[in-house]
Amino acid sequence: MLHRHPALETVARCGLPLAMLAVLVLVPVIGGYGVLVCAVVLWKASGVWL
Amino acid sequence: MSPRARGRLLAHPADAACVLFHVLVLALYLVAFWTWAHREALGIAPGAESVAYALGAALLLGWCSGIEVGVNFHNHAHRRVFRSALLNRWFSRTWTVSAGWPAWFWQYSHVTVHHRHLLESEDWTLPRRRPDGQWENFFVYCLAHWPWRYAVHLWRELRPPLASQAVARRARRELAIFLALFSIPFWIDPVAALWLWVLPAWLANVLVVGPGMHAQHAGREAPGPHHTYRHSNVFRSRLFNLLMFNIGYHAEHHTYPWVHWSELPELHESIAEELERDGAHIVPFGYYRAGYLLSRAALGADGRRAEWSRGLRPIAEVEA
Repeated sequence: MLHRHPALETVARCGLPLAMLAVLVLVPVIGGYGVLVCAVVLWKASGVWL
Repeated sequence: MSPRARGRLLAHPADAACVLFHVLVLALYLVAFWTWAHREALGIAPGAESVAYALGAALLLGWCSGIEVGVNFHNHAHRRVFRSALLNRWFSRTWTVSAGWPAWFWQYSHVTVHHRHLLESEDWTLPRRRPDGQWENFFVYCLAHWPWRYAVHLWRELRPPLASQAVARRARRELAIFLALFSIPFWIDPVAALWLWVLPAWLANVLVVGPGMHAQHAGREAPGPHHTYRHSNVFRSRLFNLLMFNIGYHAEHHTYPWVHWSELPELHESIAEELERDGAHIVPFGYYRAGYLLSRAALGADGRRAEWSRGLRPIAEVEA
């Protein structure tokens, strides 16, 4: 499906930095420990799904 | 960006993703530094919580910077992203600086050394071989390759007598530009620069570029007359290739380096039978899973150390 929508595919390819940006923007909600937890969870998940 | 604007600016429309990725990573750094500067106002307590923030942010920044140099700039090193030479040159210089690399040095290491001498003794970008032919320990390679080994080789090869005066001059110029760009965060906040600039650069190379380089060619043979695709592992995970610009199609990339990254899946399908006949090694996962397996194997955590370090058994068998 992505192949038929180049703009969507472009954004999807940037999924990782977008997810990371979301983590940093959420600092007022999740705090400093939350950033560390999210970073470690993302990294561990990459070892399974990527 | 409209398709027409893309066409004027970019060499290939799909490269919009490379540019957007880089812009997002720059934004990530800006947000990380801004958050650090305003951490107390944002509710991050001094001491342990600030350290936790810095460590978490450094991991995220380093991860992205590793992709920037090893995947995103890698695409550009083979096929320029922009139509303008000036734009290509200056965009390159900002592309790799966060990973601790002068762009031109990385391009030299990758294209002139790695591609030209793939898996030969002259390819100093890959793990060293022991006297018995085995690759060195996974962790030793990841910790030693950047900046230490690269610095030694680049110092030797980019100066006379091995390099011409013109090449040496260019190397000096590119190094000076890199140092000027790399020093910017230190002028703003030296402590933040150590946490959110130097540490991410180190993590980019140790956690992302090193394991990626190792996984791409682990257990493979140098190119020879009897095979075409056995020099690299092929990683077919669709999610991995979506997020990593199809870098998983690595045997295809090394054999046909001029093919645009967005066309590699199509190329893979078109030569599928040839790959099978040639004994290409194709696995269903991506580099991150491979890196996890390599690290487990290097630790001897699952008793598979010998297979990986010798590179005798294919990844699929280790996975099974």
